[in-house]
Order: sequence, then C-alpha cells, then structure tokens
Amino acid sequence: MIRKTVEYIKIPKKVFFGILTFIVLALVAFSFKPNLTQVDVAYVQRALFEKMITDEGITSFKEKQIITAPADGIIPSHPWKVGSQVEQGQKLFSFEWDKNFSVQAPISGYILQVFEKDRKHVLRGTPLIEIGNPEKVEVIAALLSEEVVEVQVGQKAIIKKWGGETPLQAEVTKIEPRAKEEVSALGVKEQRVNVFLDITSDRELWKNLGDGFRVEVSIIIRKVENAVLMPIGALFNDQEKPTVFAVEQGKLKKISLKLGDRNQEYAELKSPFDKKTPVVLYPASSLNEGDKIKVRVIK
Amino acid sequence: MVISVLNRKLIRDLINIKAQVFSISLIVGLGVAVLFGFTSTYSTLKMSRDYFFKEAKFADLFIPIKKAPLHTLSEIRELNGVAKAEARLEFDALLSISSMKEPGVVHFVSIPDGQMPTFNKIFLNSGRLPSTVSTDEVVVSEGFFKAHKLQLGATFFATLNGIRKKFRIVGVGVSPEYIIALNGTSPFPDDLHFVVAWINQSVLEATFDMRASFNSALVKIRPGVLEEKIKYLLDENLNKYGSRGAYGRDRQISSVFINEELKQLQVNATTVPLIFFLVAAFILNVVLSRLVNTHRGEIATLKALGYFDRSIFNYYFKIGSIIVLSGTLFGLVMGLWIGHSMMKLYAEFYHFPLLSYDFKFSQIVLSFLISILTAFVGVYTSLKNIFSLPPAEAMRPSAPASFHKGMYETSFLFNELKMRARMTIRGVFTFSRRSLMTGLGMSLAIVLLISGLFWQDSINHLITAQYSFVQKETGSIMLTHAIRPNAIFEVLRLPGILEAEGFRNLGVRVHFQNKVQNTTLKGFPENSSLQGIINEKMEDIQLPQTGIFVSRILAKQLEVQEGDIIEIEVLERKKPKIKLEIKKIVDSFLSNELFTSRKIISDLMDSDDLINSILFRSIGNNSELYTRLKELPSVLAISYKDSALKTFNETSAKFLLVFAFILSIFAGAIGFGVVYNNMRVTLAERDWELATLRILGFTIPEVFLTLIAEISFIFVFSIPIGWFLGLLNSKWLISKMSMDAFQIPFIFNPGTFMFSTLILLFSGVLSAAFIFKRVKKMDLVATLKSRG
Amino acid sequence: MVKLPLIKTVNLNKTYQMGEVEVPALKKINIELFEGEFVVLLGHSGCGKSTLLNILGGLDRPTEGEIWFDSEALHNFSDRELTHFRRKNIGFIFQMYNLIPRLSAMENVQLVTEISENPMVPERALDLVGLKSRADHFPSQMSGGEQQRVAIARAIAKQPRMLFCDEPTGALDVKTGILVLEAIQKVNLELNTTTVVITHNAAIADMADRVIILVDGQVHETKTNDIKCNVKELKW
Repeated sequence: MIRKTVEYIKIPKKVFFGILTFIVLALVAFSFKPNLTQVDVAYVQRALFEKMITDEGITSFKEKQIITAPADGIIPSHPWKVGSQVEQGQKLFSFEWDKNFSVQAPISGYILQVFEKDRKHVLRGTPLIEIGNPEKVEVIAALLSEEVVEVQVGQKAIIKKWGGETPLQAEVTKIEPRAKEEVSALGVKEQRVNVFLDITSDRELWKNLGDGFRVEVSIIIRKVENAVLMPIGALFNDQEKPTVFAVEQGKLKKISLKLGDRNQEYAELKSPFDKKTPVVLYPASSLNEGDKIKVRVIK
Repeated sequence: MVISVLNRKLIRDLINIKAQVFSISLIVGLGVAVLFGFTSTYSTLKMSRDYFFKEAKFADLFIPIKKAPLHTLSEIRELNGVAKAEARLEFDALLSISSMKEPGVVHFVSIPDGQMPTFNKIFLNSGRLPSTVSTDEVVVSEGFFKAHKLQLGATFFATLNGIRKKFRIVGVGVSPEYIIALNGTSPFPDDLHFVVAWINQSVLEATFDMRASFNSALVKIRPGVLEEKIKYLLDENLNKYGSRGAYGRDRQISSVFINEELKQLQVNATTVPLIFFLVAAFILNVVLSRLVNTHRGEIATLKALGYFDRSIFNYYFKIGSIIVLSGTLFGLVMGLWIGHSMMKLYAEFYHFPLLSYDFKFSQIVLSFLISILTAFVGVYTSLKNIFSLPPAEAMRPSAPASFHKGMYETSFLFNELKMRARMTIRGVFTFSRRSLMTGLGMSLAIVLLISGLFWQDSINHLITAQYSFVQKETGSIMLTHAIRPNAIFEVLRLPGILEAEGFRNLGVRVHFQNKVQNTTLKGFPENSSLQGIINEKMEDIQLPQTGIFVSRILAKQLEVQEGDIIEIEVLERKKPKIKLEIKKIVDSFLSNELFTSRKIISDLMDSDDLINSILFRSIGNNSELYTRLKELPSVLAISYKDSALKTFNETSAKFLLVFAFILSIFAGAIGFGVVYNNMRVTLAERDWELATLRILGFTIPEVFLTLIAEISFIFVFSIPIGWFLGLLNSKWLISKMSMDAFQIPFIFNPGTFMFSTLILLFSGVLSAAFIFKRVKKMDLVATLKSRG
Repeated sequence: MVKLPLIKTVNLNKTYQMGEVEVPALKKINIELFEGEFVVLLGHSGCGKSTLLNILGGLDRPTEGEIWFDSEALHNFSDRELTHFRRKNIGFIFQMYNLIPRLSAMENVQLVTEISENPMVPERALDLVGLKSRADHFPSQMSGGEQQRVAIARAIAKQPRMLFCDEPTGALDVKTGILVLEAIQKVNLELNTTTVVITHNAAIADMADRVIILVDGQVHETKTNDIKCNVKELKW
C-alpha cells in the first residue's frame, strides 16, 4: 500500500518513508507534550552561615542631657527647636531675674526634645530641653527573655533599615538583668530584656543617624564558616518534612532534606546534596514530581 | 400493513445509504444534544437564580461603611429613588473548628434578633433561626456545613475583637448573597475555610461596640430609577461614615459568578451546535445530491408526466427529515443527560435552595425546528439544480464535467507527475463546491477541538504565573487594625515560619476623568520575595520609587494608560485625596488592584509605616503554628493559597480529561462524517472510472489510492485553515469571557493544534478503512453493465 | 506442426445466483484462440458473449471448468494474480469508450504505458489509430469515434498478447464504426495481437478469421472465413 503511494508521486522510497514517519511521530509527540511550566531556580551555596536573633531596636545617643529650669520662673523666648545644633558652653537661656544668669549647654550636640513652650511659667527642676551628642550612638533592642539567654556581651550584630544603604556593624555591650512585661504588636503578653549595642562602623557612614530611630538589629549568636546552605525560598512541606524540588534533566524530583539552623535567607543543610543541581524557588503547589519545567528568564 | 410503493422505495433508498444516514444522524444528534442540553441548563440556572433572588428579596445595592448611627438609615430611606433600606452589621473573625487544624474565616452577618431579615433572606435547609435571646446560636452557610460533615448542634470557635468565643450551629441555610463560598481573597471557592454565620444583631453590637450603629446597608431601588444616581447619592451621604462605596449586583461577587456562568452557557449553546448543524446540512446536501443524480431519469420522467416539483421535493425532504429527526431524538436524550450532569456539577459549587434540572417544551420544539431547517437546507440546495432543468434535458444523463488544461500545468513540476497524480490535481483545481465544503468541514472539526481545548492552556498559564511568580506565600494573615511592622519579627518566631512580610492595604476610590472605581491599593514592603509583580512575558517588575502600578483589568475599567495621573481617595479614616502617576500597567490576572510601596502609602496617609496584612511561608507540622495563630488577638483572619487551589486542580484535571475526550469524539464524528460521505459519494460517482482502472490492470491498493488522493490533498490544506480559524475563534471566545475580576490570557500551545490534527487524521483514516472495504468488494462486471 | 492455442477453455461454466434462482450464463464452453488471429464472437443479446469475454480477459472467474492462457491455469488465479495478468497481457475496449475524462488523449495512453513492462511509445500508439494530432485534447473535446480510437490506442499501448472488444461500434454510426474497425484490424495485422470482437451484428463477422456463434450460453457453431473482407467493404 505504501509502496503504491510512492509510485504515485515520483519520490525515492526512503525519503517518503522518512518524511511520513517523521510527520506522524511529530504529530503524536506534539499532541501530548504539555506546555513547559516556568519556574525560578537557585543553587545550594557554600558560604558563611550566621544564626541570628533579629528584632527591632531603637537608636539612642549615648550622651544625653536634660536641661532643667534652675528656678521658678517664666521661660524666656528662645530660638531652640528640635534639631537645632548647639555647642558646649553655648548660651541657651537667659532668665529675667538675672540677665547675667544664663544656662549653658553642657555638651555639644543637637536638641532632641523641647519640653515646654517659651513664656510659660515653670517650677524649678522642670525639664526644658534635651540635648544629645550624636558622636556616640548606641542601639537598644528589647529582646524576648527566651531569646536573650543566647546573647553574650561582645557578640557582633548587624544593623539594617536604619535609613542608609549599607548595613552597619555593631557589638553587644550590655545586657540588662531585668525583664519587663509588655504586650506585643499582635496582642500577646511577653517578657522583654533590653540589650545594648555600640555601633562599630566608621562614623562617616552613619553620621546622619539620629536619636530614637527604629532599626532592625540582628545579633549573630552562631557562625559557621563554609557551611552548606539551602536557600529557604526552595523549601516546602511534603508530609510535614522539609523538601525541595530538584531539577534533574529538566524534570522535577522531590528530595527531602535534613536541616539544621536557619536564618532569614538560608537553612543549614545536614543531608548530602549535589551543589550543581538547581532547586525550584517558591514552587507552586500545582507542581508534581516528574513535571518538565523551563527556567524563567530573568533580565 | 400496506406501504405505498413510493414509501417502500424510500426505505430501500435509506437502507442503501445506511452508513451515510448514520453519520449524518450522529452529527445532528450531537448538535441537538449540545443545543438542548445547554439551553435547558441555562434556563434552569437562570430561573433558579431569578426565583431565588426574588423570593429572598435580594438587595439592589450594598453599601459597606465603617460605622454610622442608626438614624442615618432614615436619611437613606428618604433619598429620592430608594424604595426600601435596611441596616445590619458584618464582621470577619478568625475561625477555629475541631474538624480542621488550620484556622479559617467566619463572616458574621447580623439578623434582627430571632427574626428573618427583610432583605437577603436566608432559606433554611434544616434547623431554625437563632432564638431571640441567644448569644451564641448561629445559622451557617450550607457549603461549609456539608464540607465539614457537621450535624446541627455542632460548635466552633471564633475570635471576635480579640475575644475567643464559642458558637453553636442551630440552622443551615443559603442566601442569594453567598451562593458561592468566596471570601474575596482567592478566586476559588473554599467551602472548608470560609463560612457565613448569621447571628443576632445584639451579639455583634455588644462585641464590637456598635450599639445603635451599623456598618452595612442594603437598598432596594424604586423601579425606573437609575442605579448610578442612587449610588452617587448614597456615597455622598455616607462618605463621612467611611463608606467604601456603594455597589450593585454587578459587583456583588455571588451575582457576578452566576452571571458569568450564564453568559458562558449562552455562548456555548449557540456557537457549538451551529458547527454541527452546518456540517450536517452540508453532508446531507452531498448525499442527497448524489441520490438525486442517480434518480435523475426517474425525476425527469415524473416531471414530464406532470408531477409538480413540490411532490418530488417532498420525497427527498422525507428522506432528509427521517435522517435528521432520528438524530434529533438521540440528541434530545443525550441532551437530557448533559443537562442533568451539569446541574449536578453546579449544585456542588452553587448553593441554591433548590437546583433541579428542568427543561422547557419550547426547547424541544426548537431542537426539532432547527433540525428540520437543516434538512430543508440540505434538500433544497441539492434539488435546486434539477428543478431548473426542463424535463427533456433532465432525462439525459448529466453531461460529464469537461476538463481542459489549467494554467498551473505549464510548470515543469506538473510534467513530473504520473497520470494518476495529474488526475488528482486536475480534480482538485476544478474547485468543485463539494471539495471546498469538505475542506471547510474538516477545518471546522479542527476549530471545534482547538476552541474547546485552549482554555486549559490559558488557565494553566494563569495559575502558573499567579502561583509561581506572583503569589509565593503559604498564607496571609489579616490583622484587626494597622500595627507597626515589628510584628513581623513576632511572626518569624512562630514554629515553622520560613519567611514573613508585612503589607499595608487600603480600600480606595480611584478617579480618572469621569470614571470611578472602588478597589484596593496594596502597599508592598521593600524587596518583597513573597509577592511578585509581572508583565505579560512573566518577567519581574520592580515597584517604582514614586507613583503606582495599575493592574490591567483596572486600567481597562478606567481607560487609563501609563503616564496618566489618577486621583486616589482613601476610604478609611482620614481620607486625603492625592494625585499619583501611573508608572506601569501590569498583568495581575486575579485582581483589579493598584500597587505601590508601603513607604509611599505612609507618606500618603501622613503616618508611620504600618502594616495590616502579613504574608508568610511555613513548613513542618503546621498544627502548632495554627494553634498559636488562633490565639493571637490581633489576627482577624487567615487565608491559605494552596487549599482551594489544590481542590481546583484536582477537579479541573479530571474535568479536562473527560471534556477533551468528549470533544475529540465530537470533532472525530464531524471529521468522519465529512470525509466518509465525501469519499462514499465520490466512489459512487466515479465507480466506472475506478472500474476502468481496475480493468486496465491497476490493483485494488492502486485504485484506492487514486480515490483518496483528492481528499488527502484537501485534508492537507484544511489543516492550516483550521488552525487559523481555531486561533481566531479562541481569541474571540476569550474576549467574550473576560470578567471584571479575572483576565484570562491567550496562550498558544502547539500541542493543542497538533492534537486536533491528529484527531482529524484519525477520523480520516477510519473513513478510508471503511471505504477500502467497499473498493475491495467492487464488482467490475456489474459496474460495467450499469454503464453500458 | 500443430499450433498451440494461446487461450483454451475446458468445459467452462458460469452460473449466476439471482436470489434463489440460478441462472446459467455459460454451459460447457470449449474453445481455443490462437496467436494473431481475429475472432468474432457472435450472438444475440443475452447469449452470454460478454460473460465469456470477461472470463477470457480475466475480469471474471468461471463457476466450473478450466481456462488456460499459455500454460497458466487462469481458473486458479487469485484476484491479485488476475489483475497482474490483465495488466500485462490484455487490452480491453468497451462500447462506452471508458476514457478518463480528466486526462487528455495522450495521458490516457500514458496511464497504461506507465505501468507496463514493455510499452509502446505513446505517440506511436496514437499514430497507429490516426490521432497523433489530437494528443492534447480531452475526451469532452472529441467525437465518439475519436474517443473509441483513443481507447484502442490505450488498449494496445502496452503491447498486449490479446485485445478484447465488447461491441466497439455499438454506440457509433456506420461511417465512424468503420473507422474504428479499421483501426482494430490495423492493430491485429501490424502487431499480430490476438483480437476478439463481440457483436450481435453479423455483418462484422465477415472481417474475422474465425467466427464463434453463441446461443443460450453454448457454442452453437464455429466458422472459418477463407476470405477476409476488408473493413471498408462491410455494410450494415
């Protein structure tokens, strides 16, 4: 039958057979080939792993002074506003009763707070303004009492989200012994302990850092050099075990892992894993073992 | 029983062409099955909906606000155009139930203590309303009750305003407002994690400090009044109470889903059967033309004897009608089955008080009418020619087609062809109407398949894009109020949490020129990994430093472009109005939202950086996580990306397989019908030509090849035409189906095109196999005698 | 030396089944046909001459009896073998020309030469019947007589051993009929093709070498013409 078709049109038999087989196979193959799902991939890293305790911290000028009223009286008008710069020894206020009696700035720095408006009558000792020295800044982080047991003086920390580009280095200087009860942001009662850190980075980097800024503090409590790390974006649940989708020859393969500690970016990998095998990042729950995938092109 | 001579001949004629009769019947039957099945489903669903909405007094307008004193209601009632108005309370709460480890969402809706509400009534399936004095009795939505296999009297916990309370189910019901279990965050119904609970008003008043106040109003419009006008008036009056904008049934999610479903049914009920009836008419024409031709002499004689055209027409019309009507009967039965099955499927997702399949007599009549019309068209066109001839000429055998060399024959390529190949080419290029229609019929089979199967590719793409590159979280936590971002650290400490990010979402009203839309402005954290924004090429786009991104659906609604400045009015608290530039229009298939950074929002609101929603990813045994989450007072609701998606995938995968199978059979039937009948008629017409070839010494395979050469040629050409038309049709279908909430992308998958070609090829090969049998049985001697 | 027949039938029977009735078309036919001879098979309509022709030409099979071509037993041939037999050895001409309307005269001839082992040059076949000038014309552009002559050219182009003609002039007028018979005669003389012509017209029998008369499915008489008429002299 096929032979007759060949005679019908003058083409060599082998060519005809070849084309026919190719067409039929192509049709069948194409018909059932699913469109490749696109995914993002990443690789296991060998890098420095830092286990950290991260929480919110507040910056505080180490040197702060509150100027109080030396006697009962009316606050004279003054130009001082929050942020005004003063020099040590500078005249701050001149009081009515003694034009020669002036209050001087004990330290150089910026006005942090203005407590009372001028022309107000105050009693002696009432706080008037607060001056802070921006030269030395510390960060105070209120950590959970359960976490603070792992913190030691001298541990290094990283300060992020302070307003500048580069994260700053810091070091734990003091840990208060007493815990305070507070209500958390989500409404739960917690015990918190204040931890103090000095910023150790070059002052040039953070000279604009003010007092009372909220920052993110990450205290490094454990360091492992050259650790084998799995990006946490690749992890997902499979029968309650941490699992990843490895990509082998374009197909997905489920591999469960044994993990150690983790931080916000990586988890320590305690089971063997080929570094050259890519893993799927943020796999959709519609993916299954054996699926053929295509890596998304990122510009 | 005495059957007239003519009728006996009729029966004989029919038996002679029984394979062709069967194929035409089948195609008509399929067309009727779809027509009847879908129109009856449509009418049932529409009627059920209309009945439900009317009996339950479904409101015309819905106005969610922050908090307004009750006396405002009388102001609303006095507005020109408002027929009736009611106030109620609506609150979301965290759901905790023993039959499910993860938390869900309860949507509490108030009823006047112990009484049925005036609007959006509840239809109770079992049980009763809460008693007038109860503080913990509720009526729950049917879907949830069934999904958890509960009994009346079952209890669950909900955290309202930070306080965890126990509630008892005393009734199960359905309401026109919640026909489908959607909580607004995911497009897939989730009966497991979402429940509507109707509760006494006094309970909600007490819990949320809403005495003598309301946060949700329902309005019935006076007939003849414009909805737009009332909405405008209501917004004006209620803006000061934190109104998020009045909306009508066209935005009410339940109503929208049903409408879209009905629209889809309508489109399918009209377009698909059309293909079948067209093909059936065409094949009928081919078959009857041939029959008429063989009867040519007899017809001419009758005409000469004085019989009217009409009685001759009736004979063939009878034949056509018998063929068509037998198919119709089969189609009606199949249509009934289709209707029943579809209603059963709908009943699983749509919660109506009663959803029982019913058809209208008029729909049966319609099916018959259309079938008869098909027969009429087929018969009329085949008889037209013979009626126009004077009897004498009709008595002579029809002149054989005259052939001459065409222009294409000058090419040297032609001279290379063997004689039989030349026969084929010449045959094809005389462009007989039959060849063209055969080609078109084959193309239509391909079009049918492509149009049915491309949906899956589009939806798969949508899901991949959405859940691989846009939504990467495991779940999201809605907070009771906006709080400071250090809450993220708290969430990160919870067991199993891998990542957590805070978002700030605001309900806003967007103005552009004369168009207004209520939507959400989503504030992203810096460098979010859990939420992506992509363009149509699935590439990540970074949020801008200033200005906002707008989703394509919203851009279409507002008719805006990149670079346009829109005015945004925040619907919560302070309400500053601000102008923002649209930096980019992005593809967000499942939402019509605006996107910007948290920082821009905090500038906009002149406040600290706050968050009101936390997205997270978690692994491990989640029960501990859920227990902890359930206990957090600031957590309002938790939703899961995967839960509904998983059910959707499982059902849709099964559904697709069945659907593809059925569609393949449909398309295969068309392909087979068209090809088989063409070849059958060709065989009959050219029987002596083929007999001559046999006599000359050509073997059966050689002769068979000559027979199918022409149609194979047509087949090859019909494929790209089918692909092209299929592509166009798919694009058109998508444009008809776009909803406000969804935007389905068109995805080209070569596999679909190949598969449709394969099915057509298969039906062609099957037809060829049947024809081969006939060729083999060809009696040379008899054929010669018939011509001599 | 005794000439061996090209075709020989031994007690050939052909019976048709018409419902429950058996119709005997041929009864105990014993004939021989020799190479190169011109035979006319004469008989009234319904006598079975077409049936006999079909069996001799390998278009049909006998119900009983034997039919030998050279030393081959045609009665045992399968369908496929019969087809090949026809292809190689037999040329047919029918009353209704049976030309392929989609092919020109030349192409109709080429249709056959393409599958022949030992074909004539197609132009020569057309020339033999005097239609070389009409090579590129289609059947619809030719008269009945011309079409029949093309059919002859097509039949002989494969240089068959035998040429069977079933009522070749039946659809033609006398003048055209003579033209056609001339062509057949020419072919028989120049190519030495064994030729059998079926007719009910006794006048044609005068141009044959031998005449076999069939009556009611049996051989009634076999005549030998000592003097063969020239076709032009035939009158009917």
